[in-house]
Amino acid sequence: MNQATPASERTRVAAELFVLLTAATLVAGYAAMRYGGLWGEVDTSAAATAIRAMLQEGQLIPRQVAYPNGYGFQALAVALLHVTGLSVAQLQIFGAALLAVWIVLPAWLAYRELTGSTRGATLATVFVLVQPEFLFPILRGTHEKFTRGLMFLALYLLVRSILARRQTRRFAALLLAFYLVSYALVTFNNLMAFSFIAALGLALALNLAVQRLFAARGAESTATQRRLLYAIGVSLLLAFLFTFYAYPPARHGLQIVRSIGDRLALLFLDVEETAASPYTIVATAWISPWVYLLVSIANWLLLILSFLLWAAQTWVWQRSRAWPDEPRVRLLWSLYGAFGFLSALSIAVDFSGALSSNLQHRIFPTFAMLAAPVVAAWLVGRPGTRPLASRLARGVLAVAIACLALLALLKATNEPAVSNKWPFYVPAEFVALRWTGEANPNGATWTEFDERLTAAMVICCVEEIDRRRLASYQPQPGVRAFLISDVVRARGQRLGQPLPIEGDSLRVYDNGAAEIYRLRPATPFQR
Amino acid sequence: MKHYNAKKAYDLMHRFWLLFVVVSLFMPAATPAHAETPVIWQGEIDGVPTWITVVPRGHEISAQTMETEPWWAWGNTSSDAYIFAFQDPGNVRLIVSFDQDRTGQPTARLYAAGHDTPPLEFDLRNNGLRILSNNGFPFVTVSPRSGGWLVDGAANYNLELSYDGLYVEGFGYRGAQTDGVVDVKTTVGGNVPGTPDWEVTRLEYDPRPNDAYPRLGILQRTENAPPFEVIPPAMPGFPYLGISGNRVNWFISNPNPLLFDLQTMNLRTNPFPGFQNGGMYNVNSISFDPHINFEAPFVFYNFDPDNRFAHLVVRGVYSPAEAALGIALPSPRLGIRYSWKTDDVERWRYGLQLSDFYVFEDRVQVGDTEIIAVEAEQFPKWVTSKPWRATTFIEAVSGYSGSEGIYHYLVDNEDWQWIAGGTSNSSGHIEAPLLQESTELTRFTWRTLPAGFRGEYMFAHNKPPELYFSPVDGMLHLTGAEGGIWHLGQGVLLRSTDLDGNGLLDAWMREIAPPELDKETGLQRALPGRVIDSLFEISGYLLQSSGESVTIVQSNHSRVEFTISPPTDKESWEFFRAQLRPYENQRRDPSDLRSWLDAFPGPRGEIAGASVANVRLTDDGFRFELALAPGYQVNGPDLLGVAGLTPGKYVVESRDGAFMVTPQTPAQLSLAVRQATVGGAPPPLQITVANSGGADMRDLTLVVETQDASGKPVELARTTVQALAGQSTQVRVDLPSTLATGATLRVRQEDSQGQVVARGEWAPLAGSSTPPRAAIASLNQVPILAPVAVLFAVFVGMGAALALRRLPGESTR
Repeated sequence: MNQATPASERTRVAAELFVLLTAATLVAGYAAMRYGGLWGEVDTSAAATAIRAMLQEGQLIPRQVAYPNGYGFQALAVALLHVTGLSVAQLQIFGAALLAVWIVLPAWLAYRELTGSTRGATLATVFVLVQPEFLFPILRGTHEKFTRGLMFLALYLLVRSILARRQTRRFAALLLAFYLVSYALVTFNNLMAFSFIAALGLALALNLAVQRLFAARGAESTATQRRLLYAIGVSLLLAFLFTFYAYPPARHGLQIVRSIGDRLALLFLDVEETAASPYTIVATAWISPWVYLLVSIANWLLLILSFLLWAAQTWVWQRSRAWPDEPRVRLLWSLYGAFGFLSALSIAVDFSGALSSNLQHRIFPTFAMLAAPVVAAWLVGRPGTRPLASRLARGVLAVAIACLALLALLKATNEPAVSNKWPFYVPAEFVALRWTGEANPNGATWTEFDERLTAAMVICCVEEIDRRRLASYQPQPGVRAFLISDVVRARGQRLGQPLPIEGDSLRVYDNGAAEIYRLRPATPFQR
Repeated sequence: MKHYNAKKAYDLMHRFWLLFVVVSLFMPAATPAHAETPVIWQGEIDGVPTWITVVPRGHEISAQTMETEPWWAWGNTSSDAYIFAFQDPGNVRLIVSFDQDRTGQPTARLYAAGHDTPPLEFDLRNNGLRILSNNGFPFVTVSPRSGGWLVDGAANYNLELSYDGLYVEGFGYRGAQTDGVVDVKTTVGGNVPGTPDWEVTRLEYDPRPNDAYPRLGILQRTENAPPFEVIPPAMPGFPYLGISGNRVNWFISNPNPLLFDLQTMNLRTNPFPGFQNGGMYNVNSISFDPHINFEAPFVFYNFDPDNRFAHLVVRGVYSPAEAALGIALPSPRLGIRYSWKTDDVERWRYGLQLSDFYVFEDRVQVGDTEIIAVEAEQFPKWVTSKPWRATTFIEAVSGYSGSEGIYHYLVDNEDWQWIAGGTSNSSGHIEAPLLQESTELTRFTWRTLPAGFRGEYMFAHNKPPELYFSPVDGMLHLTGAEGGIWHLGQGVLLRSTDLDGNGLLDAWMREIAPPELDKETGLQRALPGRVIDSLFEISGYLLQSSGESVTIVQSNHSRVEFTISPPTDKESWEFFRAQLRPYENQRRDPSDLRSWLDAFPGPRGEIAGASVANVRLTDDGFRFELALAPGYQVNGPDLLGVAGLTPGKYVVESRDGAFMVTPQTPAQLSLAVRQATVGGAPPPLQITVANSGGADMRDLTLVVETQDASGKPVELARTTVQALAGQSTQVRVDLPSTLATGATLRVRQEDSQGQVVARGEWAPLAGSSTPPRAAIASLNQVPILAPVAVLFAVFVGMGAALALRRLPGESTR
């Protein structure tokens, strides 16, 4: 056991936190500067549009466009814009990644409560920082860095309030803080909040089932369950009031989904409505499946190792009839089980074809948040487990984790050397698009095989170019102007797709690195 | 007609409805009311045995009343109820229950059984009428917006109607049930009692907001609509309800708005102001106001109040950007179908279809509803004053019956992308429509040209629609038409074209269409076929050739007898009719083009035993190929100067009014192939087809092929080429991106018999340009940022090491 003095303990904790914050700052800085600010991404551009609307209209539900799942991120962004004097584009392009650093503190706090040790907290935080699927969403210009941070904070407050239930004032303060954080979570993304609450509910159900079937009724576990029940009830009420009364766009978002089953999936599994299979991306988004596996290895290791540990722990407890009564232990065990179950269910829903697109960006990060402390707790040595004894093993593990960090960085930033999804652009492309905006104001211009340039244009230059005049993916029949740049040519070659222009197309613009082609008129209507 | 007393009536009802009464004991009262003694009237309505049970509330019905008054006067329309059974006293199909509030404002609730549902269930016991069917919910509830059912003795047409259940098939949700939830609401208004001027019907319950069913219906009487007429109601005190077994004919009189149809045993809802009779402004929109779409508007104009027919219909199919129809089609877009009649007011004669991307900007008020559209009175001029990208014109030579105008030969969804410039090829159904012998409506109707119809099209001129009368064929034509087809029946066509591109048709060819049937429809198509007779109006001559003889007439007639615009109002409609009337009896015979020349008195020469082919314009006149058969004979003036020539093939060229006849040399074809330097991957081929001979070769097939690894030929492209004498044509052939660099291509030309008439070869094929190395520009930043990435890894590793390190005194268990 740790027998260090309080002073040295504080020094050690401070050092660990310093290292974590530095690491987070470095990864954020890398992401912010990787493309020199010349990048775009579809969710970041959607958030930029929502922020601009709120900024212009000065209301939480702008008439132009309102983010259907909450106003929290836009409101915070507007406040930051007023305080810092940044533009929306600067905030989204550079601030997006840098703001993610804050997540280290709530993560560490939550992990300290869940693992019962500061070292466990540090190691678990390290684990989430090397998860590419966790890094990718928090480094974008979306709500997720705050949503996930608030989830961590809610978990921290939940455990603390359970532990402090006999200290009335402290308990009341923690309880109030928990509900404030829950409501903030709902305002950032009601679907993620519903999903989080559903996981809490499932954790409660797991606890109840274990207690009823295997364990003796202890005072601690009863208190945990009661606390969870209140937390779920009140949080669900808050989310319900927000979705169906306080924030009408959220209700609209649900209305577009027709069946009750789909709506429930949307609410509680935090899945998105899309048409394509989410797993085909594995085959197309990276230069090879092996590269995908390599850059995602941290995800898979965490998933497999945490599941083995959780299953083994469950087996040992059940076999020895020694289910722990300690709230934090039971809570971590049940939360892992609950988030794991929801993840499995989401994958099943994805494969059913009803709704999709989550394993990579939605459910896994949440799952990883709970898987990290399971593994960390085991490694730092919890009662009943064997800590890593060998200095060499610890060193190898530290180096391995550092390597995983590098791989995670490649994946989280969509490194073009290995990724087929290119988020960057070159200035010449924007110069060409500005020209076509003036020369072809009533017609659409095709920009890329995907939303690479349209998303980037919306973030940086929406005032200059009408977004509706930019086409991408498979060109619609009415599109007759095409941007063909060096990057587009290289991208086409990478994707194995031919350029979408005909042989006798007219080159009407050329700035050296980007050209605009116009299809030759073949009918009176194409003049 | 006989009357029953109450007891007898009750026994009768019980005999058939005992089951329902028993059931009703366990049901809550849906329509509580005080009842006195119900009485039954039995008789026949339009030959159908009918039982009407009058349920008085708050009063008795005296025997004297029953003897002297008609059934509808036995009760009132403020508190009583009426139960209607047809064919059988137990077959209750309709119940009308009246009520009124404290201010005396009446309400009528109509309970109806559908024609495929069991009779209505009800309970008349215990001094009350309880409706059991549909849990007691009425199908329609009617109430005046002010006043009673009658105002100054005339029907009050300021009403609100709430429908609970399927209002009209196709309007709103198909599965709407009578379940207590109002599905549709209709508001009716009129400026004076007795005339409903407008009606707005709106979907209230919309369970499938993304489905494309109508949600907003508007009907408004136009300013010059014929006087309002409606069939007398079944109950004068409730002047909206009719019971009839007769066929509805809107052109004689409006049916009752709430009509129990004794043929289908169903309560039908009919529009109050009118339907497709003349003088109606109609909107049938899938979206709600103000951005209406679909049939928006659909206006029926009447120019002769002596009848109720529409003489002009203008139907806009509108898809505004705010409420786009069909996401794959461009929006906004507007298609107009414009049909009008002439002297036969029951049959449509002419039609226009106009397509473009216009938007409506006016705001039109109908009752309390405001829509973005065009007022009825302005709409025809709004349409005909605008240039349109695509215009078709159709004449039903013998007329076409129906209420909505001419449906055939229309530009439709399939061609919108082409009109928008999005695609380079049209569907081809305008240039070569499906040939249908009858006017039967099918799902292919818009692509068809029935026998006896002729259609013309204009895609290149983008101008307002205008018509002209040609003295050659004695028909109205669309000014600017590039071509036209008159379907004479049995696959015989009279195809017309504008050779000189001046907007006037100048060539007529009677053809037999190819016998092949369209696979999808099983109909023949008006594709170019075998020409059996032709006539050309060209440079002051009329040239006719039937294959056996050639007739040429020199004439300085005007190409246009008169021009006229499509009618837009009463005055222009009457002018249009008057203008055409003198020519109705002078129609040309489309099966005998030679007879058309009789109308032209100029010098006329005829060559028996001769035929003409490949007539076309040249820079300074025109040319054609003349075949003189052995024994040919020139009759009349020898205008061409062919007398005495050896039989054979000649080229006749007209230059500045003089003819030059030279022996025809065979076509001499050559191919030149080269590859474009820019473009797709791989760049396309540019093939020059030259004909240095004296004979045109039309409809040649150009084939491009390569070989696979085993040497087997693989066809890459096939296209049709016209090789005119003395001219060359450029053809571009796109090549598939899968084609290997360096592949050898072979090009050949085949005539219509499949014989190879020219060959060419091109090798090797150039590949696409290599992308520049610097394409992934931002990769250059890696060296700068590499230390940052490494530092991140180091700090992460440090964090892990700090967490994993063993503290002093820590157990190693």
